[in-house]
Amino acid sequence: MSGHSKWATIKHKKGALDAKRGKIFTRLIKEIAVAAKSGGGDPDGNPRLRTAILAAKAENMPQENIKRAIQRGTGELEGVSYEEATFEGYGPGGVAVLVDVLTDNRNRAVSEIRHAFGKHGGNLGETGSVKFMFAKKGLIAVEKSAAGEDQLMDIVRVRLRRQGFRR
Amino acid sequence: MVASTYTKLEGSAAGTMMRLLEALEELDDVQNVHSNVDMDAMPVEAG
Repeated sequence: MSGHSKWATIKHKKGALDAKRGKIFTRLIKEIAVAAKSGGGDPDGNPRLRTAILAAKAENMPQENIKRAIQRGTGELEGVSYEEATFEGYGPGGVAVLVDVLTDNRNRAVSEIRHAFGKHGGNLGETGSVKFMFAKKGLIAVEKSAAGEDQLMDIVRVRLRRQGFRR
Repeated sequence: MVASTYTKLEGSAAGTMMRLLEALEELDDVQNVHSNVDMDAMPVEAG
């Protein structure tokens, strides 16, 4: 697309980029809305919402969009309600696949996912067929200067003791 | 989500797997995709 007008070039590049960003934003907004709906609109008391907002900020989402997504979740603004679901299936070679979904139309989501599996040598399995192979893990990052190894080990030990473990 | 075991894929199966994961992530309703695939290197797609 070269020629006389620079905008003609920019237009195409920008269009592709905008579409991509739009997709990421939709994803983040959905997560924020669902988090706000399930745990309330205050990030201080809702870790899932806090994480979702941090992820949105990392993608440079405007504050205004974040605010609107929260309000949509808490019901202050009119919005669609999303349903959470996890689909389980197999890929080529029997690889286990978990697909996390937030959708306003479950039937459409199921058929789209089944189609994607079918097209690429996999198939959608029953609920529970692959989930047992996965465990939800968390990650805690601590600044190296903030605490030494011994201190961290002490914290872990105290937590374990409180939960009834002995060592 | 972390898998307890991993399945090794090679050659064309690995390529198909990559396309499956991409197709799933492309869908608007999908938030996250996890799998227990293990590959040596990400096969580079032509085109």
